[in-house]
Amino acid sequence: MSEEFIAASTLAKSLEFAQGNDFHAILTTLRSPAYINEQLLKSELGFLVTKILKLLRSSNDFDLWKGCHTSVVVCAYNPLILSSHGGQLLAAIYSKLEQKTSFYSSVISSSHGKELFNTLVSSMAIIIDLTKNKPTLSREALVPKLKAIIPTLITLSQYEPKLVLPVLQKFLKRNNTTFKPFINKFRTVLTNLIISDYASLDSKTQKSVCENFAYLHLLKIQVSNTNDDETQAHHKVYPDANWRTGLLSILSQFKPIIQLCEEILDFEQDNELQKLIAALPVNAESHNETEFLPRMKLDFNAPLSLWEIPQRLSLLVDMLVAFISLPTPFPIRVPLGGINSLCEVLLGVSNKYLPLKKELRRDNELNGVINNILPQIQFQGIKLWEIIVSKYGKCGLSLFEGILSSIELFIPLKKKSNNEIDFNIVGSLKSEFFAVFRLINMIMSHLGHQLSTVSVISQLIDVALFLSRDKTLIDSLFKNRKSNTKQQGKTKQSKKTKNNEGAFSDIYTHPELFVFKNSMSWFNEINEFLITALNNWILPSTPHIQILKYSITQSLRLKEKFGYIPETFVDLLRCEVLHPGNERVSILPIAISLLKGSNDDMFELLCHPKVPVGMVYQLHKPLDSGEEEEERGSTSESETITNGSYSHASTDLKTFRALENLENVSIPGPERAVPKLDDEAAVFKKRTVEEITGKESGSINKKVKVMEETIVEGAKESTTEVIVTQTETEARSIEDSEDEEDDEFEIPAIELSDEEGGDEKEE
Amino acid sequence: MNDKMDEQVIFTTNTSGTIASVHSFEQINLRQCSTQSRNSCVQVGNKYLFIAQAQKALINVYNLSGSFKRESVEQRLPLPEILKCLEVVENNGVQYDRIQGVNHNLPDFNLPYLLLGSTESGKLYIWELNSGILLNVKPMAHYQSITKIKSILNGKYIITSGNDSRVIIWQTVDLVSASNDDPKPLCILHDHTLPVTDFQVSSSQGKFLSCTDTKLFTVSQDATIRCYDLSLIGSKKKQKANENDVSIGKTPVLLATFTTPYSIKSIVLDPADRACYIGTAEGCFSLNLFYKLKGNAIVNLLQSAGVNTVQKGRVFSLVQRNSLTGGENEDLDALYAMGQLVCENVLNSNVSCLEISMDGTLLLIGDTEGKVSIAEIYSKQIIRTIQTLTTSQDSVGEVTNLLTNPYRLERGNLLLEGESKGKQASNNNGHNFMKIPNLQRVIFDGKNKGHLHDIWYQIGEPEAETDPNLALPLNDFNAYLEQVKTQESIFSHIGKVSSNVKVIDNKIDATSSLDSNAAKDEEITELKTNIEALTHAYKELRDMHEKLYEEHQQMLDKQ
Repeated sequence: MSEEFIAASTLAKSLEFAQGNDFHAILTTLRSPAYINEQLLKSELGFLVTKILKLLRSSNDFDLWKGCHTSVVVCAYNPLILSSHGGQLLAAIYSKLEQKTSFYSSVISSSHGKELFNTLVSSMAIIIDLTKNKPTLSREALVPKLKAIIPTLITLSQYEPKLVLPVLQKFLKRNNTTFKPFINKFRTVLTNLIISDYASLDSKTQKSVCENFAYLHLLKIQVSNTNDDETQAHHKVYPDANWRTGLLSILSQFKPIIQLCEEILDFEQDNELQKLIAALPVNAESHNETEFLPRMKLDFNAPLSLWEIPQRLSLLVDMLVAFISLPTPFPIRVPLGGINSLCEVLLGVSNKYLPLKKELRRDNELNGVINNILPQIQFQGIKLWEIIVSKYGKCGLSLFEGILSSIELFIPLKKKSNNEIDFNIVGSLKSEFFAVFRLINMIMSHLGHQLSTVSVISQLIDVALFLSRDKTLIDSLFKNRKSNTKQQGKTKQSKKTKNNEGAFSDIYTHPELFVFKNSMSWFNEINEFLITALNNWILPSTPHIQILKYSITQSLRLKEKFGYIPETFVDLLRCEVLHPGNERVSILPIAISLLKGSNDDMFELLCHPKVPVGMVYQLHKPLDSGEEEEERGSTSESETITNGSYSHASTDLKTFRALENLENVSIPGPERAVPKLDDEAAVFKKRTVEEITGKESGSINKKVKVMEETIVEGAKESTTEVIVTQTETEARSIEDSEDEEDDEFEIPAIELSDEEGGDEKEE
Repeated sequence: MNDKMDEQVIFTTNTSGTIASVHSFEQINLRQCSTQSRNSCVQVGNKYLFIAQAQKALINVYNLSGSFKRESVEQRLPLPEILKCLEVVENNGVQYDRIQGVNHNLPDFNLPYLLLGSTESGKLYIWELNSGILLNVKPMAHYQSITKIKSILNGKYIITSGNDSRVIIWQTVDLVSASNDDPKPLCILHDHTLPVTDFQVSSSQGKFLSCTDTKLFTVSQDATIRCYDLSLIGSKKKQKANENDVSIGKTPVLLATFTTPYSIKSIVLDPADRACYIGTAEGCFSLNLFYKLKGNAIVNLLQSAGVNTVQKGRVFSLVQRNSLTGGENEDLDALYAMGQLVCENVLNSNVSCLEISMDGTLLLIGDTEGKVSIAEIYSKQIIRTIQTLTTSQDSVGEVTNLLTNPYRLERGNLLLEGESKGKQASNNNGHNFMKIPNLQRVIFDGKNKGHLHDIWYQIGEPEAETDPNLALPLNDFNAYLEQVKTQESIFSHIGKVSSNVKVIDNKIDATSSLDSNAAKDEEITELKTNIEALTHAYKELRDMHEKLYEEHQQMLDKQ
């Protein structure tokens, strides 16, 4: 090929010494489709591959590293090389990996050793990924090698679980049969990881340990008719039989641990809970292989040993989550009901309604630990529910109301108080409450607006608002200090105090640096929750005003910080404008002033309703009587703004109400329609105006005049005609209204307040 | 590019079932299909079609998906009773994992959450499809036969209409909740005086029932169409002091009532709520909901009446345009003043079912003779008529169900669709892969906590690689290159300072583990490194020499 591109051989040559930018340039160039050419395959590309292989076989780690990346890029972008040389490259990488694995400790001792393993494993995984679903390639290049690759990776996974487990997970899922001989070896490795090192792994690796463990159960149990008796033979063996065994064995391990909690809390006070615990699934036949977890050592004399309970539960929940949340090649049976009652029990392990065992009440340290672990135990249930709701969606719909009422158990209450929330504890459970709100949001998106348990919602609103405040770490310090200062005044001169004060000086001079700020993701979740609450229910005044205050102050703060108001806050403001609840004052003007310049479509529509308020309106016609009316309209307009959201609706209400009596009296027929036309055409404005003026003289006079908009009605003008009785209206004839129609109709935008509707009714 | 679309028309008559398409002449017959009542057919995802059979306590399941489309019955679901209407509540939105922010592909085994069925006596059955469990049976949900069941707002609410002339709105969670034996409806609309034959809900629905402007249109044999605003927050509020302070209204507001000369059998809405089309025994009529008067005046017939209102909405009577002599605009205004609206006659036939195409320009009209006519609404011309392919002389009966849905033509782009086909092929031929669990006859006892309540479920593959280390360079080469750079920084840092030392280290360890000829090997490696160092130095020298030589040459050339 004499086209204008760099010959592959040239690149191959320079590859040997390339470094830094050159190397990157080579990688970038190799992506070019110009190299996907069969004519080049034998000569040029062959040469390139030889060079890469040379790099891969070199003893220099840096060369090896280059070779890995080059082969990945070449294989990914060049199907020709992938199909002709992919196997070779894979083999070369693998053999290096094997070699390095056998000298693991020496390789890892060099500072880049870890990176090298990373490169080797990930490039191998990528090339294997590329061969996936390509029948010939995977049959000839991949599968035979897998038999060697898998044991190496299993060995390596003991040392580098983070690196290797995701790769092995893929093999487990995809090349099930090839993996089969190594299952037991892998299981040993995994159980080892779970038993001894689990706590020291990062959460991502923990997750992949559990997922791998679950995937060990993908293997189908072979139907063995030999040892089963004949009656069993006709039973259908489901593909998920093995998976289910694994799942149930994990599920059954919860019960003994929860029964341990009986030593702490007096379960006998709650019959329902006892029944629930008794009904938890247990494994009839004890599988030795599944009960690999060591027994826990708990001692009331060493209170900290109780920490093991939430740890163990967390481990079990992680494993259970892996079983119920992983993609599987076949449908699995999920015991939703069983898991749900487990969660209910976990949430029930609380000292909110259950007393501690009598003999434990004296020991302060022990009580401290217990108070600490109980929410953690409950949180495990929330974690599980979160997975269920996010993965199974509506399938858990029948459980959702139960979940809501159980969540109430998670909200800590002050001891010996009348349902007062203990905000100190709430503050320490912030990340847990984040999960709670996420769970609630997911649940609420499936439920309707009529719930049997709404008390939990109002409690959660309090919690949400409390936690959304910035939290300062030194609040309690100051409180303590105040009492201490007097005492310290005497010993001021002592050197020791001075040293202390020196270290503390930052606290006094810059207390703002010790403040925890909430993250955006927290706000997003909270805002969604508040939006749901506002949309679904009309809240009592106090929480409603608190929400308003929260949204306005936070919006302003974030606006000062970022220069714009984040999306969820805009949504919340919108929602508050649309749902003023029982409030008399709309926050529309506040919201608009906050959002000034951000051009929000929704608020634009709220201020300048495009869809007509009136029932008949004209397109393209100039306003006839617009000018004079414009001057006068301001009063009514200001009301509109102050009272916001339902305003256009109420305009109609006026007109409808005006006609209501008429309609009720008259019998349906052509005549009846006459006033109707009036309503639409002529009387429309006057009636509304009447209402307004009535209003003005009445209650709303002092409403803040916030904005003066242009859409205006002939407020005052019509005031004179206002006292049109209904009979008069009726008397108005069709011609009359038709004549008037032209000049009467502009964009009718008299907007009346929500409360007017209420007043009207009372009249 | 090559992506072709078409709209599928599925219709059943008393004795047949047909799948055809609007724009092409493809047509297949569903075997062994007979239906008795309207709304007895429901499409489940893009995959299945459930049809409740006439005179048999049986649902026939047909497979509609792509290459596995079959005319024969895929599965039969036996029922405790003969069912009249069917509806499913889909389990949408679970494919997005909110916690990790990852999308999952739809799994092969993907069923809706609920199957609802109604009987002649007005009984409502509620099954959970993933387990086949009968969650609840509501006897006497309606006092007479239910005519239509529909789930709205993403399955949060369910609306039923019945021959008892009532329309009932249920909250889905009340119907399935274990603690709730006898679910109470959210509200009952009893404005109609004769059986409610059909209803439609706006296609676009908000997130919350409390604040949507979603409209509900009901039609009845009493020759009226009633339009309700489903927004509950604006409706009359019953203030009860004890009721935990949080409350919104209970019943939707009746916005308008339209009376017609004929009893109405069916209704369909324009996808954007711009017009509605009603089917009667005397033909099909269209009514623009943004009604045009003289000049440029337009009336929004469904103008919301606002909050706290107790009024009953307006009443209009519909007049057929053909019967008018003048048909001028002047007349329209006069008629409007009298509460009369002029509607267009689209087609004269005995309509039983109506459906509208996705662009709102074609009306599909199923009649009592078993034909489906596709008519253009604007010109009122019939474009095409679809009939059941049959050799028998008997009439196929009236059209009982009519569904349309857009679909992609598979043969559109073979090259790019290869992947999905490969995927399907790998899964046991995709077909007969997993049966739908059988529907149970005994009500599930949700209060029995010991029950595991197993459901069959499959979770789809995540769409993107969750581990960024294993992301293919194909997807995001820049990210890959970035990774290369970070790794290189570690290597190059070592390489410059102590690359030689490192090699020795390796060898030392290796030799020690081999435990033989240690000294020799060490010597060899040392020598090797020496050589490497020397050759390196030599290379550098040579490079330098070459450079100098070049410079020298250039100097010479210049001179």
